[in-house]
Amino acid sequence: MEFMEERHEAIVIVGLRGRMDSNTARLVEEKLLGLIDAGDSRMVVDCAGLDYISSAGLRVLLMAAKRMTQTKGKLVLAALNDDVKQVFDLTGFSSIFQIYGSREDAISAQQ
Amino acid sequence: MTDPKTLAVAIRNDLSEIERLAHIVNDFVSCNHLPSRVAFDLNLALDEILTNVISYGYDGGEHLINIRGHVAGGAVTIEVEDDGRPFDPLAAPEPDLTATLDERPIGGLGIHLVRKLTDRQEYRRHEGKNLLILKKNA
Repeated sequence: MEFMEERHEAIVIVGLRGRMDSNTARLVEEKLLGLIDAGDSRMVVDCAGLDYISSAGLRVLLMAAKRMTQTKGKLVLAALNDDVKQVFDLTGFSSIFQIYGSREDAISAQQ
Repeated sequence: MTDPKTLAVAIRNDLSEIERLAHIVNDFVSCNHLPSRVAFDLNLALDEILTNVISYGYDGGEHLINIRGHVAGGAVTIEVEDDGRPFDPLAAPEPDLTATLDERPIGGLGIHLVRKLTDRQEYRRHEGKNLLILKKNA
């Protein structure tokens, strides 16, 4: 699991690369919650490089989104591949997250 | 693999083993000329089951979990056999998928995914071990 962190004005963009499973979800949890706790309130999670997600990964994204709403911020997702999108559809996560086709669209939505 | 129609592998009770198993399942599925979606779905179902077993099934120590698979009539059947404490994962209640972000509990989705991603699931306690059988139609 690798991260790429970029900033676009007040928006933080976190790119995820690799597998988000029970073995790696904790790293993502630390990364995302760390940013939120440090004050980031507009976040794009770019999933273009995310090959795989299990319920452990979904759990972390849900935790981060909940934490974000508590602080009146917003977390959106971008560029899910078909396999990952299927997992979101099967769990109803497609309807509780704002998901954009591209990172650019997600950034625009946060502006 | 001498007989590509069958799979037999033992993994240690360590979460990092799940990714190693995923590569083996990918090879098994492609060896049998089945679609890669079959491998993705089986690997996710196996991940959810094995994460439960490895995280909650043992009091400690090293254990081996046996994974067996075979292909017949265009379907893949995978068995997971562990010597952890008795646990029927299929007894888990179904989550409420219509809940909003605020209402959604953290967790409880793993077994739901197993049910959705495979066509048949069966649990047995057999000779002091948990045996879970998953069948996936191609």
